[in-house]
Amino acid sequence: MAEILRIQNITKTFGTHVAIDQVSLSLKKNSILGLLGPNGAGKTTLLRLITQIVLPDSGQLFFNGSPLNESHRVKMGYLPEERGLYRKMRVQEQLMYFAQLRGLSAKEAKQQSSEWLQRLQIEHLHSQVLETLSKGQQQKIQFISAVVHKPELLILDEPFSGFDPANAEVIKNEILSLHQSGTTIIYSTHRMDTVEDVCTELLMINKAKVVLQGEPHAIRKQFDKGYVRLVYSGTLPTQLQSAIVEQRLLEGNKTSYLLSSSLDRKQLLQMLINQGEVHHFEEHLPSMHELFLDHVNKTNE
Amino acid sequence: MKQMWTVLKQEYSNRIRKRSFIVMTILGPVLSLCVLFIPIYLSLDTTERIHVWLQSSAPQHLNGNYTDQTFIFHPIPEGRISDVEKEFMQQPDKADVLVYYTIEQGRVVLWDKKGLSTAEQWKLKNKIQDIYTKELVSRYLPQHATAPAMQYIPLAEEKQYADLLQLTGLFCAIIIYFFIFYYGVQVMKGIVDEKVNRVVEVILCSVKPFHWMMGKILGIAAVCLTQFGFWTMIYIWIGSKFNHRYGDAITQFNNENIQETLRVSKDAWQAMEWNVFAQSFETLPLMKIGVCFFIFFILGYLLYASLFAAVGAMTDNETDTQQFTFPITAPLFITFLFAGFIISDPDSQLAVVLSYFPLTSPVAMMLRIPFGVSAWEIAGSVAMLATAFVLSVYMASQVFKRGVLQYGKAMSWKDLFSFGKK
Repeated sequence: MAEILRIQNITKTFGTHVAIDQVSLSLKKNSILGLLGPNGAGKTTLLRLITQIVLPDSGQLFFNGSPLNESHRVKMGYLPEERGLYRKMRVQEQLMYFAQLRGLSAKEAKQQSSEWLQRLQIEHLHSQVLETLSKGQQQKIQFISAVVHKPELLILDEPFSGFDPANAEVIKNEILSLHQSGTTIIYSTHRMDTVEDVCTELLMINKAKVVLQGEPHAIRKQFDKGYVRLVYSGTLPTQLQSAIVEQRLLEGNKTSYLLSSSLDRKQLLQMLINQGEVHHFEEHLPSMHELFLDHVNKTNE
Repeated sequence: MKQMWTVLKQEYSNRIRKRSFIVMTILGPVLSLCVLFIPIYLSLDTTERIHVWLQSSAPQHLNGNYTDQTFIFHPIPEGRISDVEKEFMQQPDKADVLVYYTIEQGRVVLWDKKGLSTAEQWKLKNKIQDIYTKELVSRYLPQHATAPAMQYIPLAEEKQYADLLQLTGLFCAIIIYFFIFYYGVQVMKGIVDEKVNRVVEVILCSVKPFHWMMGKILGIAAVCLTQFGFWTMIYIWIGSKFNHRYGDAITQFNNENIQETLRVSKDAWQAMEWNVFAQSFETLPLMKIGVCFFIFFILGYLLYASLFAAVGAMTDNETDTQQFTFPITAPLFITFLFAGFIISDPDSQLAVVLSYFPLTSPVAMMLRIPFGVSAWEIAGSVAMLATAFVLSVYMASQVFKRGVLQYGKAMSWKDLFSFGKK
């Protein structure tokens, strides 16, 4: 698949503080990149470098194979974490302004903004002044302002922040829908559950450096500790007693175990079947949440 | 009451510790002394004394020595006023002002060939009055002991209608000052507003900082010009209505039909002066004033707007802008403090310097132009102002790029001047 964004060893410093240190990335078209990291890691700076809000001190960025330049601004959409809209401006007027800043004609801007307002079921707010809307409604307007011009690359910094679960689901579906229609997405968040659901690639940053990079399942497999999640009735074989990481009694004389064993999983399963009743058996890969905490703590040491 | 006192103490404590307060408290007396003494110092320049020819309807009584530090009086003991007037006009030098007393009618006419400044006129009129009341009348003709009616006739072309010229200059300067200040601050407030509302990042991912800054400056300039255009149309409409209502009445008092009346009645003189004043609008170089006004207004606004844009980028709340806006607006303000001096002596050193210095030239030059400023002087001032604008836009764009994403702490002056460093 063709590459939409390539970042080569970029570094960005603000005074004496190194915000991004030799970060590289290759992002395929039509992928969804999850950008993870603790607060202050450098995620927002990386996003600002991609969107040309700030310029790197060294390194290069390429968009669709050519060096990043002014003409690429209109091909990107950006939803910053710090939400910001003109409070005294009317909704559609504001959306049209942003759309025209990004290259649409007035007519196209009006058409696209109307369509998006309908899609998110807020078309009745088109002539309202922004400060009269609820926070959730303002967030929707902000989301629309990032996508109204049909960007090739959409960058979302904490897109679900401020949404209730129902509206968060609506936004998630719209993000997936945009992905299906060909938009490449960079998605920065602390919500690990959504990362695992949605992202095709991951990039984890801590203290300005990359600590993890790749496809989510592959990364989890890379850190497979050999854990097995087991729901079992019966007495656990003696040799497995020392392998218990976690144990929880369930209803119906069942017990849930998390086992850490060096045995081959087939052998282990056979052993368990011989001794008792196996209700559930699956390999337990570390969650993104666990990986995140592990790597952040490791880097901080 | 106690709570009010607590709030009062807190407010006082907050503001008295601000750097801007401390700086102004120290600078204030220095500035006000400069404003007071610089014009006096500059006006102490030795200039040639003014030659005043004196004649009266009773010339035999003009035999005192009235000369002082400013005026050299030449009493004309005999001859008809018409002959004296002719000789005065033909005299190439040592004939600056001719004063003629018609004692029986209690009036004095002053013909000014030199073009006295307002201060010089005032001084001369006082002196003339003194000579009249203390010398001529009290000593020789006490039956005419009333204050004389004075008629001042400027003969120097550039000094005719001095009152109107001063008013015109002042009016143009006030309008420029108002628009530059008001709309320049709008630029600053707009940027601070966008920072406060966190719209900055959304804008900057679509637009280069320089284009954003210039878009705002020029957009607000367009608003300003729209308003000014509207005001101009209103003034023209009011002027046409006024002319329609009163124009005939004023032009009735022209030279041809009140010649006799002038010799008799003081009121007619005042009507004549009003006629002269009203008709003097026709002598104003309106096109020149209009074109210069437009050029200085546009360039002045652009210069100040770019400075205000930089200030807006340096802070994220309006309170913090004050420490930066004062040094920017001080030159314009100081120019206005000197306005009286400039219009009374438009060719003085101070007036010329202020009309070249870019931060003061939009106001200072407009004060001078109605009195006649050469084209090369205007061109030079415009060139300096345009250069200053280009430099200020460059500087402002650098500050803008660095400061516009900064929150929580206003950039300091040190940060500002280190923008060239990586």
